[in-house]
Amino acid sequence: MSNTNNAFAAQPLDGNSLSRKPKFKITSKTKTQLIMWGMMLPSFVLALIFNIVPLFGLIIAFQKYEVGAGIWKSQFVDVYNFTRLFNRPDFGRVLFNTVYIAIWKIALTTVLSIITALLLNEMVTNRGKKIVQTIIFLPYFLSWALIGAVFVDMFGIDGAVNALLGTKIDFLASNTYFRPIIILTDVWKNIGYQAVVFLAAVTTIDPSLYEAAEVDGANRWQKCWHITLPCIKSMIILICVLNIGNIMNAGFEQILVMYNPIVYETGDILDTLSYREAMVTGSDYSLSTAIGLFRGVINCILFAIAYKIAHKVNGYKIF
Amino acid sequence: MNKKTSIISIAMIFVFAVSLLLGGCYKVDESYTAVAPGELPAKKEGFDYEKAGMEPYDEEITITVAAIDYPLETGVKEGTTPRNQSFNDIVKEKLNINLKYVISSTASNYDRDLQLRIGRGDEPDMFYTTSAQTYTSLQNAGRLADLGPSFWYLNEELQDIYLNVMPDVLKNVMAEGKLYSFPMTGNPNESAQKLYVRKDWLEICGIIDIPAQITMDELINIGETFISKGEEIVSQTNVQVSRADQLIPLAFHNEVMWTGTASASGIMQACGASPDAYFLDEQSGELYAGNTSQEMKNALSVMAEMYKKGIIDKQFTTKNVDMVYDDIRSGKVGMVFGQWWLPNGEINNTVNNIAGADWICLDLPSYGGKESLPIVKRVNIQGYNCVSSKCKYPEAAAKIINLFYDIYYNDNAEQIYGEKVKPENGFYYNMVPIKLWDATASVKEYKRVNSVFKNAYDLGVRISYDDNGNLKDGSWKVLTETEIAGLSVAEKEKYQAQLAEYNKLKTREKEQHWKLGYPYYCAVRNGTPVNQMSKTDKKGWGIYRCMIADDCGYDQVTRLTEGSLKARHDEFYGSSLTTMEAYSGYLSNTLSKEVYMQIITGQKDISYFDTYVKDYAKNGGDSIIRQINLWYQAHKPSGN
Repeated sequence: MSNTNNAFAAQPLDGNSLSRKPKFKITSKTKTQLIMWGMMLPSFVLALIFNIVPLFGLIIAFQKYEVGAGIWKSQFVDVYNFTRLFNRPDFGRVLFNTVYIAIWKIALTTVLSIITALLLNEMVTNRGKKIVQTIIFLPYFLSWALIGAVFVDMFGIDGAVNALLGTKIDFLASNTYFRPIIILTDVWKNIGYQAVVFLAAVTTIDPSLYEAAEVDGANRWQKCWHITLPCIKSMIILICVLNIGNIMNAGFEQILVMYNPIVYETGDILDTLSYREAMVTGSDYSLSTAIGLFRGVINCILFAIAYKIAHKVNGYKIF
Repeated sequence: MNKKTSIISIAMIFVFAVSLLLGGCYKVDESYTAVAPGELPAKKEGFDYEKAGMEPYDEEITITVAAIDYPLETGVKEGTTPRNQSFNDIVKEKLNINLKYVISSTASNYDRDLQLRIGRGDEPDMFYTTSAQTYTSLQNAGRLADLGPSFWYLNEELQDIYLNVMPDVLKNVMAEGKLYSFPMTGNPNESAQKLYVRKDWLEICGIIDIPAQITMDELINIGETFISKGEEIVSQTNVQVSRADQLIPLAFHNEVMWTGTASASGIMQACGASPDAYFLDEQSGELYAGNTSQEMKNALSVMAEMYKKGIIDKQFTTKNVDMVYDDIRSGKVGMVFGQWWLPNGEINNTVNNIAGADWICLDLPSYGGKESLPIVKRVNIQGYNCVSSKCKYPEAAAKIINLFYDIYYNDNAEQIYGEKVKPENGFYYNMVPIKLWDATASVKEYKRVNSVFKNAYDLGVRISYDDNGNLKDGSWKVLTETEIAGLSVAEKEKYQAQLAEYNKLKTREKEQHWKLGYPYYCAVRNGTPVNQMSKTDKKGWGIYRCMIADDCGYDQVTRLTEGSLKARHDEFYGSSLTTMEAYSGYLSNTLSKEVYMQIITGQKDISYFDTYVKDYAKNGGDSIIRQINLWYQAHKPSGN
């Protein structure tokens, strides 16, 4: 403060200095920046309202939250809700189910969508390509509430799958079949979306690279392996990093619609457990929030690790 | 990693470790300190409570309320919502109260929306909640008004129910002379289960003259016969299946911890068990948990046997209650357990839409050579009418409740309150924000209707409609003055006696029981089989099987209420206890549900039940039962 005062004191107080124009001037660069910031402002405000401010509610995870006492007067219990969660006999299997289902979903969806994108790219007729693309993209827009009910019917004892196989298996009540069904139906739903993302990346590849390869006598497989895949590598890494940050989200809506108590052993995930505790059992919001926070922290750590690895291996940077 | 980051990381790990240690220090309070209910405050000398209970305020007051936006019943004006229902206008007109709805949510969202509002300290002045946890939490936080002084504003009938018919209900919401709610009561015996069996299926299988109570072995035999005679059932009934193995001899849904209609609760009750109930051990005088009882083990064993034999729906694990109702409607179901009102719902649908379909109603099957008793709550608190401590007019709650009571139970409501009390003008009882039922009304109604029907039939009253809903010739009807003038003296005398009997019914009973049920009653008394009745007469099947027949569902409720039929009681009726809040989430909603279903479907042997009992006790079950027994010692209901 004193320095500032001294600086002011050092200014000669004469008529010229008073009439001098301020140094701050809106240059065209600043103007562009302001426009950019202005454009970003609505998203920032929305993020602030819906993502940042609600983080305050995480305090409930450290309270014995009571509706009557509210967030301000509920008793603080440190990490009691976390110890309660970790000591639950079903916590281990719920965590395992979450990670297991999520990893399989991510791995299968990513690999299969890359293959689909490459195959689509190889299609000669544009019309055929668009038809296939539309068909595989369509399920992405359907809600789990709708297609979940269809799958419950399909995999029932009197459903289409049993009729086709000539069996009498209640697939969704079987701990052997439940997880594979969950994983495969999710892959079916989401593969189109990711394939389109990869296909978009493939179409940006410079055609001259393929022409040069053809001149060198490369076949389709070699072109794919040596040109296409390396060129979409950054997109693959981006999708992988984003997916790894989502590893604790094993698909709440889908499982909620399709599971039942008999398959808790293989189908109960952190989200469904959290939902049951808050909405079904009797408003145990503290435990439910603790589950959410735990999931968020793990996701964050995994995201950071994946990002670090991506950066080290490939020099890739998102931020 | 630079130095600054390292310091932050170490600090965070330290904080987390300390928190873990401190977290270990927190323990669930397993004690229970009973607070004496005390006495209600004395009435003010010389104050006319009866008049004040229905008196309007001098100046308009505004009361914020919450209500559930239920789906509309047939006959209610389309577009009716809590905010525009005609009850609001009547309240404004008669009490000078402006009801302002700050919550108007569907039934599935109501509790969440209410809790969110309470959580941010902005609860409505008056609201209803079924959550004992919410009520307890508000009471503990001192956020509920003392309704003691307002109690005497309630009408005499309601005061009598609280003070004399169900005194334990009131004690449960009182502490040191303060009354924190007008609890919603109901006849606890209405939750008793019955077994409903397709009569036409039994006849196809050659099973006739079935007693009112069969044994569990007989039930299993019936189920097996339904399977073996499946082809004949499919060919002789209009069931919507392509193969006989798609028939469901006994249906229930996958909410095995739920005690309502079309649930596994029927078989459990027949074996003396009930989920999440607490029974009295006569020898020790202590309560024990129904979930881990020998009775529950027996019930699961019976259900496992039935599932193995194909009697229980093979797909029940993936079916919710609506799916079971769909199965009943499509005619696939042979047997289902349910409460007294079930015949007037989905079962009635089958009788009226599937040619030849008919059902009989049986008592719970006996098990192990013992008589099976319906299991009901000792004291039934369905919910809590609460008033916020911020509300300036707590007595307004009693006034609104009185007004609703007078509209709903008063036979002359239309004359007093006008056309607005009619459903077609937007009056829908379900949407009234706070209200109380007369827990004794239905038994009175059952007796009145039965007596009127018997007497009317003996006096020669016969009513029958054709398929198009037109009254057949010779049917009795209320005559006009001119028509009466044309009768002979003897005919007039007879008519007056018949009319006097008819007029003993309340307006609502004339509309429902008489209009729908009496033609069916006449047909039954005349010996007309169901399949020979007109379509219109047959519509009365549901109400007849619920409230009129000698062996109907409400007959059982009445006998239980009057004590001529015994029940087994779930003794716990208290508000939420700390151990229940801490442990029942896992015990009831995960462990029990999962193990029960695994045993029923044969994925786990019945011997696994013993492992479950140990797991249950270890993971909080022991703590819950200890605290419940502390509660029980302090709150033993009168009569125990």
